[in-house]
Amino acid sequence: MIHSRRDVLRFGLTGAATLLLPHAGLLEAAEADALVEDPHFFLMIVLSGGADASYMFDARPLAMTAAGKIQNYLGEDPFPCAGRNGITSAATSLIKPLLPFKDRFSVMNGVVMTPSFDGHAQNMNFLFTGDPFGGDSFIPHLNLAETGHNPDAVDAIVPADQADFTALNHSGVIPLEPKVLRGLPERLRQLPPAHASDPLTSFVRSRIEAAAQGSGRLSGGASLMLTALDNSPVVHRKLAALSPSNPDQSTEKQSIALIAECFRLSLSRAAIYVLPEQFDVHAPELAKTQPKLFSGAIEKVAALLQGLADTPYDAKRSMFDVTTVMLASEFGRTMRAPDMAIDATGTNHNQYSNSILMGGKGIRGGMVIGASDMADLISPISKAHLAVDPVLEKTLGMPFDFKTMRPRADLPEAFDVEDYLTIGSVVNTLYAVFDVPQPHHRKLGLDKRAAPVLQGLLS
Amino acid sequence: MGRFIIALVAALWVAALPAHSATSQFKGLSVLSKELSARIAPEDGPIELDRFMPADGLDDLVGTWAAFGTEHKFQNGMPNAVNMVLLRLAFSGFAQSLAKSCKAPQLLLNDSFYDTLEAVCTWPSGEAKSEEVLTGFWLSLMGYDAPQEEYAIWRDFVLGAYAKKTAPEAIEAMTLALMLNPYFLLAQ
Repeated sequence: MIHSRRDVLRFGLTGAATLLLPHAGLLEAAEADALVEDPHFFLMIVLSGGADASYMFDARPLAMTAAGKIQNYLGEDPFPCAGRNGITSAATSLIKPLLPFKDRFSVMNGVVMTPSFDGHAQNMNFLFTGDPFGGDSFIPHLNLAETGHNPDAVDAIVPADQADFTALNHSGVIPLEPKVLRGLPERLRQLPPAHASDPLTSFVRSRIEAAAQGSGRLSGGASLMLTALDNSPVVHRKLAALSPSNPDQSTEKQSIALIAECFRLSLSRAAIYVLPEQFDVHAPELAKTQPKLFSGAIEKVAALLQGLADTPYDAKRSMFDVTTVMLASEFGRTMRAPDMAIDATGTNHNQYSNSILMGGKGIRGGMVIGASDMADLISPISKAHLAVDPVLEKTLGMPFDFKTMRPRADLPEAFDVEDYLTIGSVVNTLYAVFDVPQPHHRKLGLDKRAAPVLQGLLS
Repeated sequence: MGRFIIALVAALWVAALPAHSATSQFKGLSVLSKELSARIAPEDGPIELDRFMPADGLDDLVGTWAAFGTEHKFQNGMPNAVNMVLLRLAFSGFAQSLAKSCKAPQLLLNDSFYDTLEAVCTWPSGEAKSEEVLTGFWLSLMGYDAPQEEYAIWRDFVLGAYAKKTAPEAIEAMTLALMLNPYFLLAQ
């Protein structure tokens, strides 16, 4: 949406933002001021179940299928997708809905997840926390005061059904689907927010505070309750200012509208959008549905990105201009399963090669970074690969040169995570974009250095 | 030596647990409804707190069990500003229904609690403020989940701040003050 100069002059930044929020008058002055702060938000789009990058930006030639190496239910040879940095990936026709945005995001191939585990939960945990067993998600770190931004009321909203999504249960990551807005803002406008000067609120707070004194589990929960209660008036007013969703719109449009409002209101620093498609295709009959699965998912991603581009943040900027976007799955998939015909095989988990897209604010778009091995029938295979995958069912990230941002041609003798582009580097790059201080940066291992930031990806 | 190794392994295991495992979470509306039903509702008319949420699905945001394959886990139970707003909203509705029940029943209540409520409905009478009635009200809603001193502090608060208020105002405040107590809300 383009706004005329007259619009800008007429309303000013805050005025225009208020214009876009029908109930923004409910906010107090300090809350409305947040609208003109240097805005920066984060949208994470999650492909659940382990998506096979060979159907997106890390495809393989049909000759490899003919040789029995990799399934290909699309039945097409990929086309070269050249990055502006001179690296080319092989992409399928399924990604064409994303091509209008190709200059706004970069592709990372051959990203190593957790080398020690190949389970969904462990790798989803690793993606979000850097620990296969869970812990602090990176998302709340983007909303720390240490980043130099005033923290938004909540760290992230999850505006889609997330029943099987493992990265919840952080106190600042809140499921908030568009459907819940039918009725909620209106009811909240009828109930005054909890106010510290109100005797009842003051009493409730005193009991929570008393219970929070101590070191037990209940004290821990009460401590979180105390912070929650203190933040609740602001959140109450911001939730009350949200507009009801339009049920006639697509789920993606409703979600983008909700995300945009939450961002504009400084209700949330980030949003996690979990696509409904399940990419865990062990069974051949499921694997055969991948062209349809990816087609549906990529259309939704394109709709989300278009929604960001079409939705104004203020009179000058779109939501895409102020949002960093990342698309990721917990891991990739094997090329095939053992003991099955190549035209009737499912695929298993591959934590050694994932594909991730990143774009939007702070990210240099249009590049291809990293690569996975076994790109064709004649690519040499390292001893490092044979050590972790002797049956050659998994692709492995190519060794990576962090200075030149290019895959290396050498063939390591043994697997050492320091040789590879890892999810730690992806998250640390995001940290660099959001000015998250160094102590939070992920390490490559307990006794290893911090995963290098992908400097060339920063705009 | 064996004991030392077991203790060391146990200590390392505890240290390796995610931070939230050492923190109580909200019980969730489903559990709270069951607890309240057992205490104040007749057997054939359970209390359903989710009816006080303004939209479908909001009850999931204050703590719920989710299944993924064979795995079951509790989610959304970590206290945060959004679920605090939602709980206060739902409990305000419940407290108002309880207060309005003095004039016309809004909820199905068991005989024992109905008798207690009937006495509280005479607020600010002396009977309503008696130790017997207030203890009955507290235990009916809270059960025995809170220490004795929590009751005493709650009693002193309602007898002070709400001494001269009307019955509906007092009942609403008494109910909310109790239901927003961590001992009522958090799994212990």
